[in-house]
Amino acid sequence: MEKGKISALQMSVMMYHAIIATGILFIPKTVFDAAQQDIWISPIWAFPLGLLSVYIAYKLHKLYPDDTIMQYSQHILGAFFGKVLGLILLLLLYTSISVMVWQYGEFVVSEFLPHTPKYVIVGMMILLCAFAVHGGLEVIGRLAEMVFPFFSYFF
Amino acid sequence: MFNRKKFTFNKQNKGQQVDKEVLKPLYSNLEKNLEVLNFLYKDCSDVVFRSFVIAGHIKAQLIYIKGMSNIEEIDNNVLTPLMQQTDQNSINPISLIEHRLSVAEITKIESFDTCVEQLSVGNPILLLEDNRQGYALGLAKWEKRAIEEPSGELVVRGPREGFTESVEVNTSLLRRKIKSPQLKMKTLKVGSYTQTTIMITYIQDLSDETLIEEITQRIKRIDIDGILESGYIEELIQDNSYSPFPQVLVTERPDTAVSNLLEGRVVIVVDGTPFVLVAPTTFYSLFQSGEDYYHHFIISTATRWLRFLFLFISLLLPSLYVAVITYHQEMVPTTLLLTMVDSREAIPFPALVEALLMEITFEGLREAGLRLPKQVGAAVSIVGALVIGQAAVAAGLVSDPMVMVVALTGIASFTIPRYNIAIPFRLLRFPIMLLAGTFGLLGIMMGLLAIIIHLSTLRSFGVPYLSPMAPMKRRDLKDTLIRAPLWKLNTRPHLTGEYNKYRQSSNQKPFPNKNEEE
Repeated sequence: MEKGKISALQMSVMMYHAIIATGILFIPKTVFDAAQQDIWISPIWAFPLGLLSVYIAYKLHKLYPDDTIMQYSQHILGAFFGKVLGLILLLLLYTSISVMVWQYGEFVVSEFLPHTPKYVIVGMMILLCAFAVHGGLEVIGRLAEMVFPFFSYFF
Repeated sequence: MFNRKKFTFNKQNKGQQVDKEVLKPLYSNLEKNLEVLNFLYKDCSDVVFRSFVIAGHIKAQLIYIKGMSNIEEIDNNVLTPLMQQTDQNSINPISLIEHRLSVAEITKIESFDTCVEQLSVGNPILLLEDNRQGYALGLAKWEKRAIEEPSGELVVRGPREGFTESVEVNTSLLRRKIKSPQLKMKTLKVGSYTQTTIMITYIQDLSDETLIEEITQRIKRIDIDGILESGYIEELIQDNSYSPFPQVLVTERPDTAVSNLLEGRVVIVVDGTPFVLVAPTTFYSLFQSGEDYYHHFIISTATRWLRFLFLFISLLLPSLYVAVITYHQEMVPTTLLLTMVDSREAIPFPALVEALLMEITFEGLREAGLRLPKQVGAAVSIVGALVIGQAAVAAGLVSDPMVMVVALTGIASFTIPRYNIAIPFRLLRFPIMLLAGTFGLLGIMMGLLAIIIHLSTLRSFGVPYLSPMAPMKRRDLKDTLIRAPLWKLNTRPHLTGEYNKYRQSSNQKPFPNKNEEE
C-alpha cells in the first residue's frame, strides 16, 4: 500500500472535486423531475443529512484512528459481516465510478464532440486517471490543489 | 560490446601500472623520484623538469607545466634566492625553503598522487636530494576570461557581473557577497580523467544537514571519465531523469546564487563552466528573475503575472487556435469568424497541418539563429522574416491569423527568464497541438491535466516541485505568484529554510517620522 500523506486541505479539495461535478451536471435535473418549482427546498433538507453522514465518518475515525473502513467494520460487525460490508463498499465504489465515467462521456458527447465515439473519450479519461493513480495519493492531492483555483473560478 | 571490452582490457593492463606508481609515497632518493615522474609524464612535452643545485651541493629539481604557472615569480622568488645562496656550511635545505622562498602558499607533498594533483592544478613542485618530502608552490597562473555580464540572464537593474569558467573566481564572487564565515565550501573531485573540481556551497545553520549530505552522496556516486559542464552533474543527480522539466536551477548570476543560498539552498559550482547549479528548486522559482527583488514590488508582481500569461500563450495559443478553428467555431465572434474564413478559404491544409508547419519552421529558424556564424546572421533573418511572414501567406500556404499566432507564440516563449524551463514548454506545445487537432478543447484540457499530473509527481531533492501551491503552504505564497514587499518577506521558504525560519525582524515597513515637524 502507498504510504503517502496528504493534508486536511488536500482531502477536502479532493472531495469537493469529486462531488461538485456530478452535483452541478446531473442532480438538478433529477430533483427537478420530482420537485418541480419547489426544488429550492431540497438542499435545505439534504444539508443536515449530509452533515450527519460526515459526523458519523468523523466519529468512526476518532474511534479507530489508524484503521481503514474495511478494518474497523470487521472490528464492529465481526469477521464475516465485516467482510460482507467491505465487499458491498467495494462494489459501491466500482458502480459509482462507472456511473461517473458514464456521466462524463455522456456530457462530452452531447455537448462538445457529437461525432466522436464515447469509448474514445472515456478511454482517454481513464488513461489520464491511471496516470495520476500511478503517481500515488500524494500526487492526486497535489493535483486537486493545483486545479482547485481554476475549478472554483468557473463554478 | 567489443569496444567496451577492449577499453577495460586497456585499463586493467597499462592503467594499473600507473595507478600503482601513483599511490606510492615519495622516495628519499631524488633520482628515483624523477624516474617515477618521468615515467608518469612520459611523452608529455608540456611538463618541464628543471634541475639545479642549491648552495653548490644540494641537488634539487623543479617541475611545472608550461602555461599553467607564473614563470616570472618562479624566477624571482624561487630560483633566484635558492641558487644565489652562497653560505655552504650551515645549510639546512628545509629551513631554507621555509625561510627564503617568498611564496605565500607552500604545501608539503608526501606521495606521487598529490604530486600529480598539484602539478595539474598548475602549482610547481620542488623536490630535494635526500628528502622524503616535496613542496608544491602556490604559483599557479593560467589564462582565464575576465568577469563579464552574463549573456543568458540579462537584467535592466542589478549587478552586471557573471560567473566565469574558473571555480576560484566563482567562489570568490560568492564570498565577496557573503562575508560571514558561515558560508562553507566543500570540494569534491569528479571524473576519473578530468578530475574536475566541484564545490558544494552552503550556509551553515541555514541549509538542512541531511540535504547537504544527500547532495554530497549523489555527487560522490558519480563514476564517469569526465565532467565538462555542470549539465553532466545535473543529469546525474536529478530525481527524475525522464522528465523534460529541469529539477535544478541553473544560473550565471552570483546575486541569484547568493539569494538562493540565503534561502537555505545549496549551490554547486563546477570548474570549467559559468553555470552553477542550485538545488533543490521548485517550479515557481524557475519563473523568478533576480531582478524581481530589485524593482518595486507592484511592478515585479505585474511582471510575474505577465510571465505566467505568456507561459500559457507559448504552450497553448497554437493549440487553442487549431481547436477553435476545427471544432468550436461558435466561440469566435461572427465578424472575426468571417474574416478568418475569408483568409483560410484559399489554404489547402487543415488548421493542424498549417500550425505544425509554421511552428516547426519557426523552431528551425530559432535553432539556426543560435548556431549561425555571425557573418550570415543577417541573411537568415531576412529569409526567415520572408518565410514566416508575408511570402508564406502570399504563396497560399498559411493564413494570416496563423502567422500572427506563430509570431506571438515565438515571442511568448522568450519572456520566461530561464531558458531551461522554456524549452520543455516549447516542446510540449507539439503534442498538445496534436491533441487539439483530434479532440478540440477537450484534448487541450487532457494535455494540460497530464502535464500538471506529471509536475505533481516531480520532486527536487525531496521538495515537491509544485510547492508552495501544492502542497499548499500559505506562508510561502508571498513569493510565488506575487512578490510581496521586502518588509513582508520575513520568513524563509518552508521546505528549505525551516532551520532558521526568520530572515529579518518584522515591522520593517518604513514610515516617515511624524514628530519631525514639531
